Amino acid sequence: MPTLGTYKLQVQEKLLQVARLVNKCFKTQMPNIKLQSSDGETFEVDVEIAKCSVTIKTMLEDLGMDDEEEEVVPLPNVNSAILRKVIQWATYHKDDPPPPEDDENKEKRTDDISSWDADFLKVDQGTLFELILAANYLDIKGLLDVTCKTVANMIKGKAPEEIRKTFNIKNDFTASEEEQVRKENEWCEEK
Amino acid sequence: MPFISKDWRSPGEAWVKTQEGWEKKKVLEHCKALKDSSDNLEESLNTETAIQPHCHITIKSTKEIAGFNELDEAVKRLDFRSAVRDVRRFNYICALLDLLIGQQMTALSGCAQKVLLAMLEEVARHATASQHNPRGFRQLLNNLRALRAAERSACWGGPLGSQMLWHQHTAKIEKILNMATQMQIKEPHPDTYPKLLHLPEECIREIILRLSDHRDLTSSAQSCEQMASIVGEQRVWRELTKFHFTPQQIDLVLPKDNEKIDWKDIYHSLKKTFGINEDRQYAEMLSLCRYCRCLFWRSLGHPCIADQCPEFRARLQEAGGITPP
Amino acid sequence: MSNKNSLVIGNNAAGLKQIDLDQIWGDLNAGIQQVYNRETMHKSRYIQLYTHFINKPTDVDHPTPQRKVKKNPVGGGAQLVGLELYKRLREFLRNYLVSLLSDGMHRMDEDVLKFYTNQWEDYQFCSKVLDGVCAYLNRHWVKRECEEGRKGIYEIYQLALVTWRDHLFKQLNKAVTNAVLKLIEKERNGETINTRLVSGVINCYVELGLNEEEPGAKGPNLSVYKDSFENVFLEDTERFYTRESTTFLAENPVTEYMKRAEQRLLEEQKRVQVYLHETTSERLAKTCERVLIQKHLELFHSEFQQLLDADKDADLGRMYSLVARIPDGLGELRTLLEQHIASQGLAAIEKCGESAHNDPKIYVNTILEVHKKYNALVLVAFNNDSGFVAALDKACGRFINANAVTKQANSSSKSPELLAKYCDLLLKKSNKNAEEAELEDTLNQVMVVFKYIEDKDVFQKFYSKMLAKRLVQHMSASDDAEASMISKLKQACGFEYTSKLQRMFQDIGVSKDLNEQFRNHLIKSNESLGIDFSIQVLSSGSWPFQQSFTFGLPSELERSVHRFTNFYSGQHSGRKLNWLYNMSKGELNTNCFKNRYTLQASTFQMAVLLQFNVSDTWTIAQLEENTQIKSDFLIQVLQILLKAKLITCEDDENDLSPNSIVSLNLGFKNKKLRVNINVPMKTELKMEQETTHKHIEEDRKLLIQAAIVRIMKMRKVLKHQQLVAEVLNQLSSRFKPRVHIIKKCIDILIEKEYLERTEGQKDTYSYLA
Repeated sequence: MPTLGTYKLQVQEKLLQVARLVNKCFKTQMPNIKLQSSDGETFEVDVEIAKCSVTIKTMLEDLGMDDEEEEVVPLPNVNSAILRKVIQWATYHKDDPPPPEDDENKEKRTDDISSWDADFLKVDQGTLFELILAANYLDIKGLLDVTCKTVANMIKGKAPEEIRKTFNIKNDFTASEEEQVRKENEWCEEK
Repeated sequence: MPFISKDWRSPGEAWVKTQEGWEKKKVLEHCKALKDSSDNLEESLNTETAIQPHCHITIKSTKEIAGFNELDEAVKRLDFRSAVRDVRRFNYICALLDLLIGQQMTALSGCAQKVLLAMLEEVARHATASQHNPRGFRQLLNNLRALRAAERSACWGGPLGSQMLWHQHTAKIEKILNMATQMQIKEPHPDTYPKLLHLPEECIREIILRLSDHRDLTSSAQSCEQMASIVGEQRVWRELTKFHFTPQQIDLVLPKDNEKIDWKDIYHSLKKTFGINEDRQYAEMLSLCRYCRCLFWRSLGHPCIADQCPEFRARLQEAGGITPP
Repeated sequence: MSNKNSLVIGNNAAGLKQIDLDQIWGDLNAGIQQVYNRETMHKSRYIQLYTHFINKPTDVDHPTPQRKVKKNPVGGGAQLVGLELYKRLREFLRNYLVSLLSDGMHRMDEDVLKFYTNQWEDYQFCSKVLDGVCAYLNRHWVKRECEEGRKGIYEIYQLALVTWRDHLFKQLNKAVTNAVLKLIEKERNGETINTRLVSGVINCYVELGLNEEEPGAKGPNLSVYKDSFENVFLEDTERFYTRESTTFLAENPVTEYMKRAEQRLLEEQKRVQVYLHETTSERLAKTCERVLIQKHLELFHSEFQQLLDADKDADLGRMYSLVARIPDGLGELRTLLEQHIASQGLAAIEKCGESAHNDPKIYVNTILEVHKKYNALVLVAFNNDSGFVAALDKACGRFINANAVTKQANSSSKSPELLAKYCDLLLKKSNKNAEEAELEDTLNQVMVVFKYIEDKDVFQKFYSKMLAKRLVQHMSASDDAEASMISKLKQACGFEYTSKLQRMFQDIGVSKDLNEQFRNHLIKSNESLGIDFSIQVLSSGSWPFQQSFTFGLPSELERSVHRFTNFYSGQHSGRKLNWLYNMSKGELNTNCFKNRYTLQASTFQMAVLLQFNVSDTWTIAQLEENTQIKSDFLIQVLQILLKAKLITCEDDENDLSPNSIVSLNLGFKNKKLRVNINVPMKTELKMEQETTHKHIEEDRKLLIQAAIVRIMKMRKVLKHQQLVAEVLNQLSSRFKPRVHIIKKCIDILIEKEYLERTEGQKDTYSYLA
């Protein structure tokens, strides 16, 4: 005869099983993937969103999706702060139409940035460049595009010295070299 | 009927005094509605009823409607002032102002002039804050200076028109020029990491590839060695050429025999032959709806008669299957 | 510069130490080995390998941080590392494949196939994974190299393919292709084969076709597939089927061979679907068709005639569908068919002999039977192919317009005449009249024959003549059928062709009303004619009747004629009535004989018979005097009356002279009380036929002249040849004008000054307005 206590335990166990089952059902419907940043933080992301990254997409295609084994995917080149931002971006853009295959005629209108993206990218230069690195690493075309446009926009309309200032670039030309480059370009302009 | 008006059939406008002077009541109301909707942007984007900035214009000018198509009205209705702060529209507005101030400003009504200068001030404020496109901004300033100089002695050694109005204008121009001189390129903190040149070459290339103006490429090349080496790559110039010119145009200039192609040369010779098509450079432009004669921002759309009235839509479709944008 | 190197790993805990290339390659090499050994790979390992390509050192041995960049803008440090990695990857693949090759050498047949396909599938899969791992290298370094115009640099997957091609394919492809061909031959000989081996090889060959010239172009270009497989395969196919078809034909009849060929073609088509590349389909089909059909085309042609003779429709259909695959292959068959139908038609008519000449029904039905048979053949066996339909039409046109019957009559107009007569038979009131629906069907059949008739104007002439008679004599079986026939003709030849026929119809309707009005008029004016009198007023242009000569109308009729003439001119002033006595008829009641007979007689007979009210005997001269009928005609009338035994004469009826005396035969007897003595006179019949043909000639001349004038009016100046051609073309729907008649017509028109010969130019006419 089971005591009341053991009975309670049994019920609890049953409930737990049901919960696990429900959880599993839910998971097979919306499979998640675990991404781990360089500093060890793990993010659980919807696979569809993660597939914004062609790198992850290709990997899943190459290795297959076995959902039994919940393996963490380490991303040694992205830290948690940036990964969080990348996921935020990807989540917002998950329903975007895929970018056109043909990258020859790349969109060059540097100011063609949606207002959401413009707000999203109101960050310091360091973060902006890290986002570029991450987008490049994970091969997320849309993010790379919009971040590069933002930087290009910062270059637009500026004189060389202003560009140097904007990006803290040291002028590594000698005076004569600088003169030569300038002349070369003037010549082109006039031709 | 004792109407003392240019045209007694005119519906008449109610004028209201505001801080900035007299203003037509309906325009004011319209702008208020706009302002309300832009205050709670999030909501207005979701609700169908949000009013997009738009301006109906009448193309044929008759006696009755003379004076309806005022530039200042259009500027207000199209919400130019907040448009200045939009990345997508900033460059376009600079170009538009450039056109207006350079050629026609003194021919416009005093009211319109005032609005334009106000806008210019907004541009100045934004340009100095964001440091975007200083070249375009400087161009505007040059125009402005030229205007000031020309107008000073336009009519018997003094400007034409109201002295007081011109006084205000000069003050504003002064203020704008002042702002411009104080403009300084902000440097990032030297400890910021990573910096542009810390990026691997392929990333810098991606950035360079997105510049649509050859002057920007040239300036970048002059800034440092690494940039110069990337700007020197053929791909950069080839993509630039393909962006600005059609394949037919390019075919004309392309050397026929298999000699080495220098895309930089090709770009410049094409630019000489065909000029640069400005349309392709702006992300956002004003458009005119051919159904309801309405000026509007392309990406925002407008409440079109064709959308609101199903009968009209049906007629349009009958007429040739053109569906309104 | 050292600053630059550290950045790539700067964020990593791995430290700021410079990682050197060999270290990276060491790990990469192990990883790739893992891939090609098909060991399970974890995601973390995959990412680790991928990351190597980004966190690569930017310098290979980089001793001098000098201004290298500017001197050599293409080869930055990063570029050199890329190249080094690329080279090592290439080396790895090469080694892998070389060792694989040593395993694959000296294998043969299915063995080599198994080896090749298995290895290929593994290799392809692994290379795809490798490509994913090297994605970063592809995206930047390889792309840049290609952009800057470097040749021989491929994306990693492509590199894998190129390496396979250079080190495995080139060594093994002969053996592999041979083995595949052997397998296919086995299958053709009826054995079951493992098609996966073939499709595996084909997939590999397709994949290996790289677009080296245009790296941008998507998809393989099939060059390897075509060069190393397709061409050999097609040669092999040709050889196989040349041999097979020759041996098969030596032992089997052509009909069996056709079945075999059909089946083989189907098999080859299926073969492409199952394991070859779809582009082969067309070339393979062409090859098979050439060997299986075109080479034996002559045999087919001779067989075709035999099949036609034996009415083997199924075999004919099969032959058609086979030969139709060969471009321009059907021409000969069409000619043969045309000849066959024409000769069949001629033979059928010839067989009918004399009866066809006299009985339009037999004639038309014979034609229709031939047409029906071959129409069905064309429809079913030849898929209603337009060329064969044309052959049928040509053949029908040939034997209908020139056959035994027309030869006997020495005129191609015999056919339209007989056809028109057949129509008359169908449409005339008789005890054999068909049901409405059946009649309609028969008329449609008539139209089938009509389509082929060349001299449609002859048909029109005869038809209108007979229609006129039917209408005037109220002999039409059905107004609906008449109308339907006219509308059919109108559809076939246009409004003009039937306008007169329609007018005739109208006139009959109008006359009915007119008689009614006349009768009412008489009652109103309280005058009675004393005899039944009805008339038909026919518009002179539309009816094919000729006005007859006048004669002394018997006084008994004169009043009626007079009254009607007055009545009519009162209704329509200015219209002239000409009386067609030769078409008129009447009934006489006799009081002189034993029985009271009613004689149905023509007007002329009436005139003569009425004379016997005055006296019982007359000399012919007296009769001529009284009736004003021309003597030769009068004699014919009397001959008929003599034959009917109404009158008697002492002279022989063929030897009548003006002095011969005729007297009423008071002992006249007949079984019937109504006696029809109105039989057509010999001369009348003969004359009618002759005039009809003469009219046709006249009408044709007019039509030709009208056509010439129409054409010249439009062209103003025209060469003789062109003019003749245009005239022929314009009139082809009516008849085939003979060229010498056209020439005659041109001369007439020149005489009439419609045309003139252009001065200084030979054979050229110009129009005179």
